[in-house]
Amino acid sequence: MEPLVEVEELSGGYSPRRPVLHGLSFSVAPGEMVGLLGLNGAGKSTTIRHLLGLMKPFAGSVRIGGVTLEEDAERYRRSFAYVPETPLLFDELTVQEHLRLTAMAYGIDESTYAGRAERLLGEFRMTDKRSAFAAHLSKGMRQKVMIMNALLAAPPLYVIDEPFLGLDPLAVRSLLERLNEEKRSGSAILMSSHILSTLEAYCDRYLLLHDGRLIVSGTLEALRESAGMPGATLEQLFFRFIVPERDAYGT
Amino acid sequence: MEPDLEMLRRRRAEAWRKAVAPYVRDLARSGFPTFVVLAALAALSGYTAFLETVPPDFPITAVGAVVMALLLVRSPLRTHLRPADAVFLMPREHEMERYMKSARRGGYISGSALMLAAWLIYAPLYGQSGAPTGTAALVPALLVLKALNDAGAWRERRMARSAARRLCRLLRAALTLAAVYALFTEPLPAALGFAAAAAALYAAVCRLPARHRFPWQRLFDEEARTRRRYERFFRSFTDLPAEDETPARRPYAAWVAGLIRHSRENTYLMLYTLTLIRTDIGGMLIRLIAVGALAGAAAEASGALAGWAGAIAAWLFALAAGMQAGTVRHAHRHAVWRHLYPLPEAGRQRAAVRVAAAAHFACAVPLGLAAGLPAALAGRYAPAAAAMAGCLVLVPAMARRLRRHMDREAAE
Repeated sequence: MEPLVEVEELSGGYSPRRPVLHGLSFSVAPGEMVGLLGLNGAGKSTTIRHLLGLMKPFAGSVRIGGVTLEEDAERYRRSFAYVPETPLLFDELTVQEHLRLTAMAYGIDESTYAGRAERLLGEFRMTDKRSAFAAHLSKGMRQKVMIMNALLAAPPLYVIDEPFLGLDPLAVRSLLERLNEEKRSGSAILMSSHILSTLEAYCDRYLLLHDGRLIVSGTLEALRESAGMPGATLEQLFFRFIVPERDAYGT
Repeated sequence: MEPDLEMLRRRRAEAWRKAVAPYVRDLARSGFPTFVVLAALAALSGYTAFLETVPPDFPITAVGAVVMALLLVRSPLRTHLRPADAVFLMPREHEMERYMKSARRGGYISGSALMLAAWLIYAPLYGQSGAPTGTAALVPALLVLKALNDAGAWRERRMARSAARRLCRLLRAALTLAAVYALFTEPLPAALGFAAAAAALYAAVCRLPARHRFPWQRLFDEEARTRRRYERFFRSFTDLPAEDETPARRPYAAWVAGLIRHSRENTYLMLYTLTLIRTDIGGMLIRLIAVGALAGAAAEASGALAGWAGAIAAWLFALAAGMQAGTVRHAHRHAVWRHLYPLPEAGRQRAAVRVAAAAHFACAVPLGLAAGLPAALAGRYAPAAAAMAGCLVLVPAMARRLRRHMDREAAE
């Protein structure tokens, strides 16, 4: 199956003299949920920013849906929906208006939008907040709006950065159930999070970043084999791969 | 963190002055000061002429009492507090009196200066009212009233419930108006006695509602509002990034967005429509319509400039409305959504121009009508037609100008 995300030898960051990412290569296939793991500062957010086209690689390439941003910006952007760690909303728009704006931007027709919006508002218990301004929502509710926007667009790829921060347990469950559903229907999901138990329960593969390098990747079984720790949890594997390096730095 | 809180507030005030200094320079270069000076000279000349022929039935005392009461009740406070202070300054709440001292002093001095300037302007008119107390003798009384009002405003800020705060403010305004009226009409000792009784009544009532020890949230909100007001003002003369502003619902206008056809090419049209209506741009347009319509109607009624004053006022306000509506092009220029969502970039400029032109048209019609209708009813058909036509002609002219502006900005 043709991969949806293809990252090849990606080096990037804020200054070419001090790159944050060093030659990353990975792919994400349709119908696959991939967990992006690493300590703070490992390069997870920088990787995501390169995928989104917010940063330009110093070397290497990023393809989404078979094209780079330069080749076909519109196709590239319509191939994914992004849920950032910090919700990005227009203060003067209501929840419902954000959903409508998203539907219009992704070219979703009105009847499909209406059906999806109602379902999402119900699932995320936001029906009574549909007319509230984004400026008046709590952090968790703002995050729900971002998640609803992404799910409303139903793109081939979801890029999700720390989605659980500020969400109530019911919303976390709704999100994970919907992501599983999207995965089954063929969408790819790249999710970054520090909640390893959740990633272990839901992801098919993992990318472990450390100091801007991909130190290990693969299924849970592959990671166990690579670490020589049969039956280990993702958390045990994470510490196995990360901690020896930290010790090597004398920290 | 600065150990001395009084010094900290002073440093913040200084930093604020330094931050706005470049914008003040832009303002000085914009020609706005010349406009203000000319407007002040024109107003002064009109006022001087009015003083020579004050109609016998003109309510000198009532007008003076209302103006002075408004200036006395208004008690702005520049604290320079920011939400982050909830973390850093809150633990030192017991020391905040030192921080607030200079804020209160600054508020009192600037408020008193404004009030005394108004008193100076009003004094010649007051002299003609046959009041029992001299102009100079009332100055100390007014200064004491100002101090009492500032203290009252602080008590109101501390009130935990908004309804109680609003009620107390209303009571303070009514009592201040009554006290000023008494000062203007009654012998000084009796008027002072009344003012003291009013202050005691207010103080007794204000003891009842629940109060915060220190009104952190209210001061954060007030400071944010003040900053937004300054930014809005400076943004008229210079390119200033917008800080968070509280949106207004304005359902009487926002329904228009519901009429926009659901299609990808209309994405920016919907966004800009809602932005214009719900943000300060819409608020400013509404104020321009209200003030412009009043000014146009009043100028027309005065019959000045052979009946053309109304039309000229309408054109000026329609021009200002067009410029204000055009500022919608600055909205969302740096929004991250543009990079994350597949917004149809090609239609952005067209949407901004369409929204600005529609809003300008919605302003131009009432402005033209407010000046034109009374003129037509008075049989002055040429100025009536000119008021309406002039306002409407400005709409496509300003839209073309806006398009050129955006082309130039895009090229840069």
